[in-house]
Amino acid sequence: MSRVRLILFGVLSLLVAAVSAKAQTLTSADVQQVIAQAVAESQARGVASTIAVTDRVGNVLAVFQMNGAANLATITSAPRSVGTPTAIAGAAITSLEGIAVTSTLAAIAKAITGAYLSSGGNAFTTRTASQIIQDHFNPGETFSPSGPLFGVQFSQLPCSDLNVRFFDGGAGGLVNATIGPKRSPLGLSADAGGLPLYKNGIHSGGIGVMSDGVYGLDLVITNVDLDQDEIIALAGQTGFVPAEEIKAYRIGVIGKSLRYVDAQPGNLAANPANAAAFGGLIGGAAGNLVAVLGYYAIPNGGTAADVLAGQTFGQPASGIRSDAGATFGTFRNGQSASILVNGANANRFAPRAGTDGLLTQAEVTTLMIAALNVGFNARAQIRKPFGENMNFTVSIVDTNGAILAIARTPDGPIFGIDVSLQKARTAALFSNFSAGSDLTTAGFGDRVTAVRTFFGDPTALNNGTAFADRSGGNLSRPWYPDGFDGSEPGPLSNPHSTWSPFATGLQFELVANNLVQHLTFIGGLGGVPSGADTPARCSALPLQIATGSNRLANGLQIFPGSVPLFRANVLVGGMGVSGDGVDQDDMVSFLGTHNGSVALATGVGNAPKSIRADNLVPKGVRLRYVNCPFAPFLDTSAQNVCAGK
Amino acid sequence: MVGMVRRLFYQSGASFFRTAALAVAIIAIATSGARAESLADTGTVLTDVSVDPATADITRTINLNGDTPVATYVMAHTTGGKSLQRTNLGYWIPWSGNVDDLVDSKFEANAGSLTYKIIDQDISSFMFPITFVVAYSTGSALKFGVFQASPN
Repeated sequence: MSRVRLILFGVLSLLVAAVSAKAQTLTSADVQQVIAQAVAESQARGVASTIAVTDRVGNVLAVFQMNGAANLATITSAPRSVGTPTAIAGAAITSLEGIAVTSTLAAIAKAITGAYLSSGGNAFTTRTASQIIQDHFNPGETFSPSGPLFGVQFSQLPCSDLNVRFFDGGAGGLVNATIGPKRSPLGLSADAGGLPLYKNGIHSGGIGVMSDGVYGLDLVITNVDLDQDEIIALAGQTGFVPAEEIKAYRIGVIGKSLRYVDAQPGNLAANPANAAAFGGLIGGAAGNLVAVLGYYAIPNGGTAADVLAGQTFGQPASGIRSDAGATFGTFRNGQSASILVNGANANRFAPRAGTDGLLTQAEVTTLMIAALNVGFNARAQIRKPFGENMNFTVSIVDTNGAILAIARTPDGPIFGIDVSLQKARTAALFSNFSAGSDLTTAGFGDRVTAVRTFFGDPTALNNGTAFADRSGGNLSRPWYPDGFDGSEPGPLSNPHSTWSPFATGLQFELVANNLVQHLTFIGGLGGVPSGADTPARCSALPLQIATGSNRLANGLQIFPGSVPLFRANVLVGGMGVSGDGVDQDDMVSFLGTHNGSVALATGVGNAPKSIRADNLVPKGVRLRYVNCPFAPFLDTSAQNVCAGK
Repeated sequence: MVGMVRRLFYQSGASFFRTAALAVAIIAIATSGARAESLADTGTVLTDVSVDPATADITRTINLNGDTPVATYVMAHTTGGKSLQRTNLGYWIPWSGNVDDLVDSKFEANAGSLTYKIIDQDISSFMFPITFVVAYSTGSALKFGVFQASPN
């Protein structure tokens, strides 16, 4: 009898899982409904839109372009006038301002942004992104620091070696066809009109709309915009709306509430419930499904069969699943970490020893567990309801930039995967004795000179100073110190007159050639597709034989959340964290490394205090290393947990 | 190119100059892809390839520029996270990433060049792109080059 019960329990469990998966997974019919609703709104407004829908891990499920939709959208910070940054040898262009890109790419980037910035505990949009990436937080507030995710727009890049590529025509046979996270053609977007999709209250994807020909951002958040793209996206989102509690406007950062959307359902010109069926829209009736090289194919000639279903997040086919305690054990409340998997359901980034021989597999594993433990016990900042632990991704790299491990909490926002790796690599690169020579070899000697002039130290970037990402970020702001209008820029930034979120300085310069190559390959600049795609290797920093790549293969990141790893005074790698507030990210990386160091007792840990960048006081203002939350944990009243470590 | 010039002609103001700069950038990046197929101790970027994953057949011929290899190496890194190296028998085994752990694939030089037979098998189970590294040791230097393989 007990065996029968076991069998019945197993069958019931499978049924529950299947039902649960179905409840959260976008079906083709769902995607068609989203598009139809957006089309109806567009028609009611007398405009023609390009609409993209993705699942949570960035698989593009459909791209629909209405008849008469503008082919191109211009990247711009208008009405702000931005000058052209000074040319630099290592980058063919120094700014994306004024560049026209195809509306299909813009719509995809917006959909991915809505999907990647959101989670079960927070619903963020491209309008939220706009608010948190500008020179002031809030935008327009003079003498306030820059946005908390300053620089995040240059993540999920098409050249990333981590984010997965879609290969046209191979969906049936290629094992990475459904695996995410997928790359984005333009990184993350700050142009209104990208929203997350929630099915039955569960985060399942994103919608992006491009209709007004402008790929920009909102410079003034004190007013209410009736942005056309946003309104149409809102219409498309009908029926797939997040719970009110988790919308961005219910979440605060340093006492300021975030923006979700300005448009409201009352602004809609059409009733989404009355939208014409999708089947009557395609084939030129209202528009067409359009293939986008590198992102979306229409092997069935653009019929409804080409509208794909999304992947169930957390199932192996999505590329992300639970570790079930196998690698890292379990954490607070019995939770397990999640891992990235390949098409064979194997961990893509299981802990391994450093390729440089400086970290053992055991050390990497212990550091990861320590970091995860800090985070699972930490109070989330950007999630609701209150009282949840933070959700994030943590990455460890060695001095070659090789990925030694990646793991995450189950509901971390997807953007944090690529960003955590960027942060880890950035800390490891800038703390390396070869940082200056690497950058100079790649054509960024002017930036190295600027840093040395800034510090008054000709050995800067070649003297082994330990840079956390917060430290490097200080140097990457258009004003130093951050937010002090009229001050000189950080040496890695453009001056404010030529700075914008589309021209951030070294961060953009490092990947500019990759972006141009990719956009040319996919015809993203309006021309015929030509040339080869960018390699999955951002930047032209010197190659490392250990990886066949360079130390910054998915790009530079310039907001807090990472520390370099040391053994005594010897750099051994970097740890990066992303997914919650930046102070929380800092704490997980710094305190996690410290706790791991104590557990290991092998000498691996944070950089010695004497070589940390916060010993430096350029221009009379001390650099920062990390900043941790005051009373961060859920189950204890411990305070100042990073102090003295 | 003619079409692009025509489009540029009819654009105005700052947008024209930015687009012109972009056109120059595109040409510069395109022409930078013409690379000599030789290796260097600092690494060289070799031309990427497209393959049919089910019947991938990749060989690479390298100009030795007077070098005399004493050992040759072939490594691969997949997007799925695998790091592998090729043995002299054609098998692929895990590789730590440490050069001290490299095994000689025993390809032989011929008339000043070296041909690596990299792979000739179904690789459709791997995540793309795959980064291949070809290298040789001269005894005093370890020279290498990298390229990526993507599916057709």
